[in-house]
Parts: sequence; C-alpha cells; structure tokens
Amino acid sequence: MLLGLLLLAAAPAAGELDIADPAPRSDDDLFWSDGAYLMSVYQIEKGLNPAYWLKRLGAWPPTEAGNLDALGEPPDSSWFVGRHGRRRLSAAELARGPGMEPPAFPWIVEKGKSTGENPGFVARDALGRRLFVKFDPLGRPGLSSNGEVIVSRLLHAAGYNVPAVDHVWVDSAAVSLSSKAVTRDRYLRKRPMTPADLEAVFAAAARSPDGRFSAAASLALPGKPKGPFGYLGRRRDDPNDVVHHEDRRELRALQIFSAWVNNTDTRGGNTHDAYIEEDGRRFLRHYLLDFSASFGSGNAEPKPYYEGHEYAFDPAIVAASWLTLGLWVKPWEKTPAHEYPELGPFPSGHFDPERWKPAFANPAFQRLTPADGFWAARLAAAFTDADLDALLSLGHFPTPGSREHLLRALIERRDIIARRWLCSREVSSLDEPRLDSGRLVLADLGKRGGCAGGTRYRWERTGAPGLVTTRPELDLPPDFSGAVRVRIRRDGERRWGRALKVSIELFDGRPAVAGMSR
Amino acid sequence: MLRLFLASALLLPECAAAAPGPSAERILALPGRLLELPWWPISRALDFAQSHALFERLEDLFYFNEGRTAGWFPNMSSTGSGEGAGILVFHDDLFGKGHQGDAAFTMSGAKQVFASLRLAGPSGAQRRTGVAVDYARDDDAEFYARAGPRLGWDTGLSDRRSHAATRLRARLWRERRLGSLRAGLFGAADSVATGAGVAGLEPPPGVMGFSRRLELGGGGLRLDWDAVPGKERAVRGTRLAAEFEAQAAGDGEHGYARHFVDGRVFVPLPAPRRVLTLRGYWERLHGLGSRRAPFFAYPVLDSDNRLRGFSRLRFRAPGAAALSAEYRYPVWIHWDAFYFIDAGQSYASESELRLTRWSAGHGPGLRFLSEEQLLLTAHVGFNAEGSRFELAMGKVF
Repeated sequence: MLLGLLLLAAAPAAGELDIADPAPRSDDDLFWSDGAYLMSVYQIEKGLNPAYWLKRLGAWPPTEAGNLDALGEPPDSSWFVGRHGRRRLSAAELARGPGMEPPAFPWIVEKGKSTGENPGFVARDALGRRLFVKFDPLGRPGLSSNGEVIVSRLLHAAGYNVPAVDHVWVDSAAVSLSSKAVTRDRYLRKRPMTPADLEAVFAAAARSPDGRFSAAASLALPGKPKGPFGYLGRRRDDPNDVVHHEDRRELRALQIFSAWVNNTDTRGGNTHDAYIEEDGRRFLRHYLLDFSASFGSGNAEPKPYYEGHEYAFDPAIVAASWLTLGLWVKPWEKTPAHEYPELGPFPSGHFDPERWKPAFANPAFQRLTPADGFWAARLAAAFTDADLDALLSLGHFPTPGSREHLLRALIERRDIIARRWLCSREVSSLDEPRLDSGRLVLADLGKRGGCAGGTRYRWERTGAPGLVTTRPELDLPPDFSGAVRVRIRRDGERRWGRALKVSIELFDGRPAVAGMSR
Repeated sequence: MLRLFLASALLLPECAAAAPGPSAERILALPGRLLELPWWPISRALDFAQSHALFERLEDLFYFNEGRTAGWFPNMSSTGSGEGAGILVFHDDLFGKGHQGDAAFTMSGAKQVFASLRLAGPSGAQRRTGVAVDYARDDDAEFYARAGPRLGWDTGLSDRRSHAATRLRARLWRERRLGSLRAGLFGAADSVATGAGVAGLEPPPGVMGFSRRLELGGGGLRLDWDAVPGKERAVRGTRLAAEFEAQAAGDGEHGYARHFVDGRVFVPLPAPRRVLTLRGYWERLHGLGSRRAPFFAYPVLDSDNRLRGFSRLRFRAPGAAALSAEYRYPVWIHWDAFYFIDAGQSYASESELRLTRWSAGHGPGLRFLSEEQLLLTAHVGFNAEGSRFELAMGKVF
C-alpha cells in the first residue's frame, strides 16, 4: 500500500533523458501578451493556413497527437502518468492525491501574494515546508479552495502532475510574519511586508463562525523552478521536449477535464516546469497549477455568466452579438436559478464539452481530435459516482445541499462527456484490446457511455471471411503464426460504426497485441 | 523579405518552436507566421507594461488619493462641428463628510471655452444643498434663422448664421429626498452678453436679446424621481425630472417662465441584459407678462442626446419636444451596442406642432461603462441633413 502511494506520488518519468540544467525562465505570469497573442494573432494565423479550412471541410485529416505509442496511448512521461484509467485507485488513494501531510501550525509568512485575485501569502509551516496559501474570498468559504483541492486530486488521479493541496482552517494567532518577509506593492515593486499587509489578507478572507479562515494550502513543488511550459511550441532547451505541446495528447485532452470541472483558468501561466533529479537522471517535470477558478468560482467572486462559453476576448462572439442586434441570445446568458456561495454558478444544463471555452484560447485545446476526445472521455468515465463523492469529501460545503448539487452536476457533466466522445461516429467505441486464452477481447466503451447498439460486432481479418459476433470477442485460429490485422466495427444506432484496427503479432512465440489505431 | 522572415524564425520563440518534422500543415502555416514579425515588438511592449504595472500606474493617474474619492477624468467630445477636450476634477468626500464637488473645463479650438463648478452635500443625505456655476464663451456659435426671425423647425442648413456669446450662470439649490423622489427649490442668476460671431452672417434683426448684455435672476422648483436599480447597466426602472423656473431681467423687457419635463423608462426585454430605453422630453419658454424670453435661453434639441446626428445648436426655439427610443444590447463584458431613433421639433408656438414637421434621426452606437462609472460612447447619427459621428467620454454622475 505504502509502496503504491509512493509510486503514485513520485510519478516515474519513463524514457526521459538526463539533461543539462535548462536556462532559467521568468516565473512572472505575463498573460497579457500570451492572451493577446493566442486570441488574436494565433487565430489569424490559423485562418491563413489552408490546412485549417481543409480540415474544417473534412478534406484534410485531423492532425493526431504526436506522442502516442503503437496502441495509441501516450506513454508514461514527465508530463503524464496513467493512474486511475489504468488501475482503479481506492477512495483513500484518490483522496490522498500527490500526498501531503496536513500543514502544521504555527506558520511564518515569508512572502506576500502579488498575483491573482484571492488574498494569500507564502508561508513556512512548523515542519519547515514551504506553502502557497490562498484564502477563500470574504463571505464565500470554499469558493476557490474547493476547486484547488478537488480538481487537483481529480487531475492527479487522471495522470497529470499537480502540486499537493489541502483545505485548511487558519487561525490568525498561529501565523506570524518573518522579519525578512517581502511583498510587492501595487506597482509590483518589492518592499518589506508589514503586519498591516497581513491584516489586510485576513480582512479579505472568508471566516468561519469560530474565527478561523478558510484557505487552500499548496505544497511547494520539488526541484528548480524553470517557468511555465505553455501550450504552444516546444522548449528548445529541453532535449526531452520533442513534441509540440499543442500536439500532446494529454494537453489536448485537458480540454475535456477542464470543461468537466469548468476550470477556465487553463492558460500557459498556470503551468510549471521543475528541473528535478530522480533515479540518477535530471530532467524537467511538467506541472499544472491553480485550479481555483473551477466549478462556478471566478476566484474572488462567482464566475460571470460568460466564462466557460467565451474567451476573455472572443471576436467571433462579439461580432455575432453585435451584428445580430442582440437577437441571438446566448444560452449561457440565462443565469442559473440558484447558486451556492461556495460553488458559484455550476449547472449541468447548456454544457457542451466540445464548445466549452477557457478564459484564454488554448492551442492544445483547439487541436483536440475525436481520438483525443475519446481518450479523455474514457479516463473521465473511469471516475465512478462513488469516486467523485470521495473527492468531494475533501471540499468545504457549508450550505446545505451544495455538495449534493456539485456531485449531481459532475455526474451529469461526466455522462454528457461520455455520450459525446464514447458514442462518437468519428471514432470506434471499442478499446482496450487484450488476448485472453487465445481470444482477442475488446472492451465496448460505448456501453459505458450509454450509446445505442452494442449488440453485434463485425470482424474483418486478412485472409479470412468476415464474421459477426454478439460479444466483442474473437477466437484466434489455433495455428496462429505470423501477423494478422483485424478490423472490428460495432453496430450503432443505424449503421456500423468506425473500425478499430488491431494488429496481432508473435512475440517470443506467443501472439500479442502489437498495435492499434482508430 | 525571406531573410527577414528567417531571421524572425530564429529570434521568435513561437517561430523557433516549429522545428521537428516540417509537415505539410506546418509548411502551409509559414505565410501566416509572417504576422509574428509585427507582433514581436507588441508582445514585448505588453510584457513590459504588465511587469511594470503600467496599467495600474495609468489608472492611478486619474486619482489623487488611495481611497479614490478624488481624481480627474478627461472630458472629450467630437461632434463634427468641433472637437472639445478638457478635464473634470472631482471629489466625492470633501471635508471628510461625503460632500461632493467637481470642476470641469473644456475647450474647443480657440472659439469655445466651457467651465463649470458644482458643490453638493452627501449623495445619500436626506437634505442636500448645492451650488452650480457654469461659464461658457463661444465666438462662433451656430445660429439657424430666417428673416422674421424664424428659429425653429422650418430653418434649413443654409440658414446658418453665427453669433458670439459669453454666459455666466449660477444656481443655488436645496433639496429633500423622499424615497426615490428628490424635491428641491433653487435660485438662479444668469449674465449673458451676445454679439456678432467671428464667421458668417450674424443673426437677423429682431432676435430677442441679441447684441445685448443681460442680467437675469429668478428661481424655481425641481422634482427628480429615480427608480433605476443598480449602477452599472440600467436595465429597468424609471427616471423623471420636472422643473419650473422663472427669470427676469432688470431692464423690464426680458423675462421668462420655463417648464421642463424629461422622462426615461428602461423596459427590460425578455432576453437578459437587453433593454429598450424610451425617452420623452418637453421644454417650453413663455414670456413673463409683457416681457419676452431672450433667444439664448431657448432650449436646444441637439444637447443631452435628444436629437442625435444633427449639427450643434441646429434647432433652437421657445418650445422643444423630442421622443427617443434606444435599444441596448450587450456585446462584450462592459460594452453595450445600441440603436437609436430620435425625433423632435423646435417650435415657436403650439400651433406649429405637427408630427410631419418633426425631424428624425437614427443610428448605431457603442457604449462602454467601466466599474468606476467612466462612460465612453460613440455613435453615428443619420438624418435627412446628413450624418454625424459623435464620441464622448466622461464620468457618469
């Protein structure tokens, strides 16, 4: 059990080369130029590329992810390590996440928080650990910390690298200011942090009836910080970084997870590269950060109605709104009937995972293909209702009914994702090929997604007549030798679905699945 | 150009990132990537601006204190007949007691100068006293008149003449709040000198008060009903203002009574944040007994967005009536677009009031209202006499 937890916490980075210390990169979150570039120049560049229009017309195949193995899976790496989708994690493992002993008081504040909307600071706890502390906004305990704690655990279970975050109740009497503490003023100039600064932090924080303050405490990440990784291009000073980030399967698929939990703050600035040493190798590990803008949270206040549906600057929607004289009423303009203070507006109605948008345009999300969506939906569907309930047990829900509302919304949104991507006409719903006692066995994920059909399967093999079965299983010939390619289709609502292509070859004299494509 | 592009590909991280396996798609993307060239300096400038908090520094330039109770805003307008620019200085917590004050100064070329000073008690107080002083000097003010003189609806653009005026007005008021209603009394004084303008024909003889220096004094009462909830976007509610004023000059020749009503209704439409604003305006001057109203006191239709798209001071007569409908709808976070239809008539007597004589205009516009109540509006008005673009910026009070 302990070994399992340690393995989960310290994700192995298979195949990463030992690399020299990359050049330092500013940790400043310069999102003005990033956002302006991605929402204007990048979009124009995309429109000027004939391939983009040919793809939209269906005359050019979608560009599939570039970091897949022969089975169409992203191999474990410093970016992503298969966890819950590969081996079901227990409720305790889900709740533990990257692993962190609860923060120990007293705390000594070393630094103010100069970015973001929530009040907070950087402190060292009684165990000497560095914590990034972000308080919930006044009057809304749980609003931002619920996202931090629950979504970070969910993404970790899916396979992403995230910091360890816990919800904590902070007693201001157990927090003192280091004599060397610094903060930044309104003009981002460094200056000593004063007791008045600390008082201002607590004054803006959500408070419980017993006078303690609600916050999310995030453990500092290991290794040397090397700045954000971004969702476009590669890091030239990292020899391991050979696939454009916008073409990485796990980063494209993050669109689905972000849509699921409505984490709209998935921009380059909320990523982090750390130069770490592990098993004698030094390499960059890539982390996702900051999940406080999840569910209905807009960090310091509830999300405005347009977040999740429009980019911060969305010329197409602005133009459409203007030119249609307001006659086009965007479905998301209608405010949900009820919202909970600790959640903000987080409905399941009007949820379209394909059309969901983060606050900033994200090149990786925009290059999501049906195969990427299928992969993400399969991972999302691996989270059962009970799994989600276990994750929600980490949150803080003072308003009666809010936890049940969040659970219901997450379940409904997960099911919408599963229906959209597991029942897609663009990719086969069959997956997970394995050989079992001389039989090729497939998993019909369409059944998990509640798709129509799934009663018949049509098999086509090289050099053999076609065959229709009622289960996704096929006996291999007893005299199997050499290699065979099998195309399998599942029946759909009206027609046969897309084919899944599986290659079987002999390895050490025994047949094994050698490849798969959809 | 190719050399420049290749150089940029080496310099720019985004371009440089297009290294492995130049697929057909990436090759086709190369022409579009030329945009990276002009973008590069822009992105560096944005990075510099953000890392040095230039936006905050710029924002703070408008305020004199940390609490943002005092500051200044630019006052700007472009109406086709001239561009005006100036500043508005405000203080919402004078003497630390919530008293409000503002002073504005606007200049348009060398011909027009406007200045104002307003002081008032705390906005939430049950009883308030205030004073307002306005000064205007205009060496080439529009004046549309025909022989007779006729000043109202039946003048044309070709009837433009010019006059000069210097005017100093003061009003001392006291009001009481009763829920959404504010009722007040005021005393007013007006000192005006008019004469020939620097350009074009001067007004025809017989225009009451022209080429004179007049001092008028008087007073009146005012009622304001404001039942519009919220500050950022008015999406429902009613605003109504009514005023009666009487002023007389010491010469025994000039004096008038003025009636004024201006009502706005914000009608929420079924779709969220869409609103139809209906507005009705009527103003009428009558001579007091045997006295007659001076022309400069006549109401005008082009001010305060009553009849948009027309030339400045285009319609000026003892009576004025206007109706407006404006449909506002959201297009972006703080931005609303609108389309308006205005119609109005200036008239000398009620017998001239005919719907067929009303001038009408219409046009689209955009308005931006910041959280700090800074309002920026731009619209184009189209009408039978042409079209006009107008831009205005200022603080909403």
